Amino acid sequence: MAELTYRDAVARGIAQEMARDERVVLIGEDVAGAGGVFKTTVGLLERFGPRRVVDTPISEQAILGAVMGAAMTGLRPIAEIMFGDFFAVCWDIIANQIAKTRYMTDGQVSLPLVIKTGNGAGLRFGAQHSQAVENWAMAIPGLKVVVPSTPRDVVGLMAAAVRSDDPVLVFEAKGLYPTKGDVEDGEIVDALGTARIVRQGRDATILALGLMVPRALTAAEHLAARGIDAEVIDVRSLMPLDARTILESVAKTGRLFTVEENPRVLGWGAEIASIVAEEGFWGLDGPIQRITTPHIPLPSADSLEDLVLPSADVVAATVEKALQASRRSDGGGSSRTGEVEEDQLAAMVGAIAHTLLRGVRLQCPATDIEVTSGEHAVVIRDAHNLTCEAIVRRLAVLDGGVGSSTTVIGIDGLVNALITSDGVRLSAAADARLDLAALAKLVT
Amino acid sequence: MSTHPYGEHAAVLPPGDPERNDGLAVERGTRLELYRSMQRMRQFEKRAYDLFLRQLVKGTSHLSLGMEAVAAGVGAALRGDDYTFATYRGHAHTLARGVGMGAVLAELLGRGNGLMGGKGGSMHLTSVAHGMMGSYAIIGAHLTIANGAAWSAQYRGSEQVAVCFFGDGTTNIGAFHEALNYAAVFKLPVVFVCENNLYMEYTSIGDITAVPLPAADRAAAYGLEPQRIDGNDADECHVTALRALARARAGEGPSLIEAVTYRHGGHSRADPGKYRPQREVEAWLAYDPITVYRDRLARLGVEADELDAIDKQVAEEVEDATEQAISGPTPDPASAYTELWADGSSAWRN
Repeated sequence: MAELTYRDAVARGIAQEMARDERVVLIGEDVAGAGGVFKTTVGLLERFGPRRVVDTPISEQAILGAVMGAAMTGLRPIAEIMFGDFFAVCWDIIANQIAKTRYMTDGQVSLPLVIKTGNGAGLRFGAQHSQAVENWAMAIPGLKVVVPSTPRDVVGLMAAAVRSDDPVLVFEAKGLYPTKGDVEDGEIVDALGTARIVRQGRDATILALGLMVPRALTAAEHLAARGIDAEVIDVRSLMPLDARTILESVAKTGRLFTVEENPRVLGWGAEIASIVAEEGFWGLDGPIQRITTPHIPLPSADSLEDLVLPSADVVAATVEKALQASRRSDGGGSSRTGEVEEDQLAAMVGAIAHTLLRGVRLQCPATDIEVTSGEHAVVIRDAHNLTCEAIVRRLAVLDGGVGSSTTVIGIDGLVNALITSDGVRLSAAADARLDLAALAKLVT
Repeated sequence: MSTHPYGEHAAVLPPGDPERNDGLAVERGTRLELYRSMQRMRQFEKRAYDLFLRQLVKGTSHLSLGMEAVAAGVGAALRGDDYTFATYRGHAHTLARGVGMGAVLAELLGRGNGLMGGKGGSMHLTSVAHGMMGSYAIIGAHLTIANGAAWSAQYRGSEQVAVCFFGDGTTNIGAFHEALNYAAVFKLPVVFVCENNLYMEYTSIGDITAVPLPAADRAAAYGLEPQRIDGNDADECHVTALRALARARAGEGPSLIEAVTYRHGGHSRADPGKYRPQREVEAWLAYDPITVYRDRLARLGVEADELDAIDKQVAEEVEDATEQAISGPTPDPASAYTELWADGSSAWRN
């Protein structure tokens, strides 16, 4: 067992594979003589010589074309693209050539190659040297994508990437390069497509990747101090995706949170949220929540970079708030009276829908409303503090229309909702029916 | 057409005087092979065009009609285990590696017995077993990929050479310049063959390039010898390629050859090629590489009967290929979901 930095683990993983297989070669800008601008390839030139460890021109297309052509003709090359942001200048080779050629040729061409890159934030390099771009790669059919978060995983996943007969992009979290961890002696080979539960928990599932993993773990410790037992999963591999581990965890905890360094829109968590919404919905006790960098380029100033990246505190606070709301729904919270805010109303309507769909009893103490799902009836009592207009606005999309003072909406062939200026009442009615699509809109 | 933004460009005429190359050192057997190779390309692509008009070839395709001498001349110079990298205009280069016409035509028709089972199409013809390492349809990329194959050959000490064909338009994209510098720096065994047919797509290459000779004039920037040859003369293409291949095999590094030629038709199916001066088109049609070659063979004493027999054999080959393609099955629907990954599947999650 040795304690290694994340950056030293990169060189160790590559060396492990170069030592066992003459076909493994490494090229990139400053990877040989300088040992890499991030010092992730230190010592490789000295150990394996200039034939196998090669400094290239600043020509990202030429670099990736070279590893592609070499991979299709018998080598198992590794290329470094210095910063993940630089994928933008060689994206044709990645997305059109490397990703598609096996499929287009109906399997005639294999591309056992690795592209490693320094990805994401933490070094205050500004927008063009800090973006987490793993979601770009995840979106392209034909690329495998791994993001190690510990020195041990760096070695194991690098080895798995080199031994894969498919192209693998290894995203090294730049912000983790100086971090240390124990790495066992001897050969380490991991498996692509495997997530790892790095903290067991019962109350919520937190997914994290790369730089976000230690933050999620810290957040889980904070949450534990507040009585919330969070499970943390290091996703590790976006492609292939270990959906089973995630779905099983969500079925156990009932809540899902993703912690993503990539910008919000179509970040990796969006696909996972979609999978869980489709396949794990009935195990959810509340909305899936994504905690991401906002949809902005990264600012350079340290204060601003820290502000926009998901922090352990933000993760803990987000999870705690969401679970408290959910606990109230489960009947454990305290009642309070007062004006109902729009978002509370939305949550209430969502809770009603949830109740109807699952047939369980719940309360909405935040709004002083009790919802009871009986065999054929749901009753909301003590809703006098809701403004009728607010309810009307929310429910107007349902069948039947909603009047200003009294109306009936159909729900599920079993239940009517009677809304008056004095409150809300839902009661059974044989001819009513549920507009599931409309209800779903309310829930979201 | 005078709607060209720069006004009508000057016609670029063929070199003429084909007799100047009659004395090139090419053996009779090789010459007959070159003739057959060009006939195969010509008759195949004419048939492909016919099948397009019959709506049996779908999508687009880019024909090399009129440009056969380059693919044939260079192709015949290759060793069996050399690598060919071609563009979306790659039918001819694929046939030059000895790939069966039927499989190629079936691929154009989107049939299950196509070269790639219908998953690649006209622009991506590949037959690794024949050294045909692919046809690449994004301009410039495959020059860098050919470098990789050359690097691999150099690393393994196999004395294989990668040959990379591309059009004149490629000389203005970044990957061309990255690839040339890279190949030169590492002395890679790669031969870059620019098929300069004078038009990138619809625009004259001369109108939008800073130097008159789009490839040859760039050679010096990478320490390479400028080589501009008659791309309609199969013998000249052949001997030039032999020299470049020998250089590469001897570890002397890359070559850049600019072969000037002409498309008989437009850029692709959608293009009638009306932007070209009539005088230029007529002159090049008259300087057809197959006509030029047939005339040379006649001057060198080859009987017309012998050439006619080749023509007839090729015609039969095309008929067989057509039958094979047309009678081919539609692809197995399941095949759409295979061979994304090396395990044969397209599964991306558990």
